[in-house]
Amino acid sequence: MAFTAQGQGADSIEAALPHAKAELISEYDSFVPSESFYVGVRIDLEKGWHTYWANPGDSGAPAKIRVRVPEHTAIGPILWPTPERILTGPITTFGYENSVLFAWELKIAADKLHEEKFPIDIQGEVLVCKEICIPARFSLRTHFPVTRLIQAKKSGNASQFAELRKILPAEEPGLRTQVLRENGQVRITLKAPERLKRAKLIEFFPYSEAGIEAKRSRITRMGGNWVLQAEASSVAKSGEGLGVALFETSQGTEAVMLGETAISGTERDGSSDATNRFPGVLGFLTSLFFAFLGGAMLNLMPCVFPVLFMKVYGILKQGAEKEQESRIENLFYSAGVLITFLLFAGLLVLLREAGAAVGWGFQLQSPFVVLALSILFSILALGFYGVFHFDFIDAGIGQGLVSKGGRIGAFFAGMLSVIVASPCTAPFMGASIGYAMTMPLPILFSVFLALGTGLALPTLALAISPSLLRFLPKPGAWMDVLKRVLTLPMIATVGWLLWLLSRISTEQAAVHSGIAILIGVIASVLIARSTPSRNIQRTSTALVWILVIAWAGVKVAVKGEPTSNSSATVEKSGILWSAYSPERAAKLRKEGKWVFVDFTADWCITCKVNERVTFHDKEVQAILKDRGIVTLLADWTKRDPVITRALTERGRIGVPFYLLLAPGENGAETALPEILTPGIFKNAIAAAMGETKGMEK
Amino acid sequence: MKKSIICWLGALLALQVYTASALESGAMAPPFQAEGADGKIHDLSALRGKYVVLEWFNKGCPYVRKHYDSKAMQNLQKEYTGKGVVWFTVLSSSKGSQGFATGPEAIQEAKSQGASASALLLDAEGKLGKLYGAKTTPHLFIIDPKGVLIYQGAIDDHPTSDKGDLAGATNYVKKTLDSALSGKKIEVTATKPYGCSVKYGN
Repeated sequence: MAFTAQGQGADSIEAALPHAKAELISEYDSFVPSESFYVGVRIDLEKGWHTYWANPGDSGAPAKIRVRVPEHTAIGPILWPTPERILTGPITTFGYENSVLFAWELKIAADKLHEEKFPIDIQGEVLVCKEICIPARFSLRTHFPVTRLIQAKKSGNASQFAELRKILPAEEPGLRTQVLRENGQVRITLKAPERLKRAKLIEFFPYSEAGIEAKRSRITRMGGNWVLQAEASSVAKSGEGLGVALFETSQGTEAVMLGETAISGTERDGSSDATNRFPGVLGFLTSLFFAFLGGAMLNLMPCVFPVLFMKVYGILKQGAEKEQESRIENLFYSAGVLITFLLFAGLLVLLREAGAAVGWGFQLQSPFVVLALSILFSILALGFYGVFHFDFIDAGIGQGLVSKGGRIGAFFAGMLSVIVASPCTAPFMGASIGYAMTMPLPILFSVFLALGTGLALPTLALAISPSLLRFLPKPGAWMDVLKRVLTLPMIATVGWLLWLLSRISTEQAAVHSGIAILIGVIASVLIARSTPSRNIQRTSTALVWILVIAWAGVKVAVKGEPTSNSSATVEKSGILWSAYSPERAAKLRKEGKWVFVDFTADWCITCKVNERVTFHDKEVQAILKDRGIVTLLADWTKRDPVITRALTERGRIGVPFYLLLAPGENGAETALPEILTPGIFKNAIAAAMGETKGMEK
Repeated sequence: MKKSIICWLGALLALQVYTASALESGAMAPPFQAEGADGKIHDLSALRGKYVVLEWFNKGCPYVRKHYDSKAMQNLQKEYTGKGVVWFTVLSSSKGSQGFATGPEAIQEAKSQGASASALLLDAEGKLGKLYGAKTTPHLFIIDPKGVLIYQGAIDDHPTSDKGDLAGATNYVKKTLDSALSGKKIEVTATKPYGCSVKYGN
């Protein structure tokens, strides 16, 4: 005998709500003890009306439904179907339109049920909203027949439950998540399992407990992982759940539940400590502005200033009668700068797409690039000293170079200034460029363009308004003196590059390169003095430098293969550091230790400043010691895939980067600001350690 | 050398500037000047030295009704304005949206409710609401005499529209103001607001 739910006369399985209807439905017409079955409440909404998910978002309220069943029945939690994003002006909510089925899984104990009928009593409240909201309460009740048959008969509503199971968010054990919370932002990195490798992440719905704003999060793909960037809500997270991620697969969409495997403690309490004001993430316009500013400031750096000076020097010498021509040349120079920056950006993108986790500053991780740069700077220094004559340096000093050659020369001078700027951009701007690298392509290219515009600013300004020349000092003998003086910053740069070479290659290779360069310099001077013939000078000087390059290159190639970082303990800034590895960090955390990781590189000036200012500080050292924080050093001076991976997993492609890791496998990860002072450091440590301790209670 | 390091540090610090979005408790509350239903301009910066409460309101919202029909909200307003707190009831419904009111209508509504707010702020353009990120009615913000935001979020910890749930609920506005006025530490500085959406219009 087949009973239908509708057959239970006295009970009501339907309720009329304002602009909606609630109905109690079941997957089976009768229930079998010890088998699990589903019941649910379907809410049908009038067009334009909606009701809410577990996290309603900015406003609204989740459906609250209480199901009462006999004691000997196991009942699961409410199953929330994946919601839709509903936008009303600036308000974002998560809910359902048209129709939604809230369901529960029930199981009657095998031996307990003697009654022939199984009662279900439901009290519910849903908020039904269009522009206005109406709270709607309802109660539904019915009795289902209990059958001892092996197979219960499916009801007419069974297909709705089958549909529901298809769209319910499911756990995906193969999916790994990593969460970094800092400065009002939450960054979730998803490592999709093989099964979802080709699926596209299209949407993310945070749980209420996740401490994440409802606003749409930015989804990007980085090195095979998906990265969700969302805004942290003003309310701290209160649970381990993150939300529901929606993947688009070839078979349709698939909803996956996300939980935290790493949590951060940078959430702030009421106090406004300094860390709040130094977020690591720049807004788009701000990052453009500062890239521009940074580019403009590069002009004053020891690497670029001499080149710029020579450009302006040439213009001054040309004088007012050639104003039109210098204008054109300035435009060519600027074009050289911009195009080279775009080429750099393009190269980085290609490397990134090819799966290489490269960051800005990576160029200084290659001993060959560093060697090439030090030789380039040496030759330039000779040019500045007057030993050689370069068109772009001495443009305007006669020989009729001002013409088409001058324009092309200006273009190459622009390119050259970007190349010579690269050892300066990496130490100073690595972190910001590293950030830009994680952005979508249009933003990435815009940031590089802004940087280039900044670098080309002086010549661009002169091209647009040549009358600015009037503000420059009159040409005179001082210029030749200054030109020679500028040899000094170039020599200093060579010295720095050679030191760097000794760090990323071997000391021996660096010493040999230094001697080779020195001999090259002396030989060039001697050749220039010994013969007046330009041709002989050129040929023999070129020969000398080819020999220099060959010698140093062979030394670097033989001795200079980057070796992996040693695991020894080093003392730096009065602190004992052990080499970082994810395994070591995990082991220490398992042992219940707090771990501080310093991601740094010898070529990173910001890192060096932080070390000097902060890690040398006695109080900072005392804090690390007293709190028993283990310090690990992730030295990125040389190429190191392990460290690169650790950085990219946290959305960074650059140093400095400071991480505080709480004990335990799922302990919090806190990123400290990139600019450290003892005060910022103390506050950040106190906030992170204090708060997490509070959470353990 | 030292100077140049400081210079660079300064520049790098500047690089870190960020355009904030969600308000942070413990930070300075954004300044505003808003028109009251009485036609006066209310300027937050002129209220230094006083506690200021911002309460987002919509007369038709069942969650607002819960606190007004029970007189709970009016009593709060009365109690704390009596203690020198400035209480602004803000109407951010856009023109044509539910809950929109002109100055006289708003005053009439407040009167019939027996409300004791210091002033009603008319924000039909939603500027104040968006500045503070007000999402629901009610949504509460409390600013201390120094201009620091000390609380934001729900009115209490029972997020329902049922008057019956008022009993036993912790009222966050009361708790925050009582702690602040007696010089105690404020324990909860932010909660998730609940209620109807603010009707900003599209």
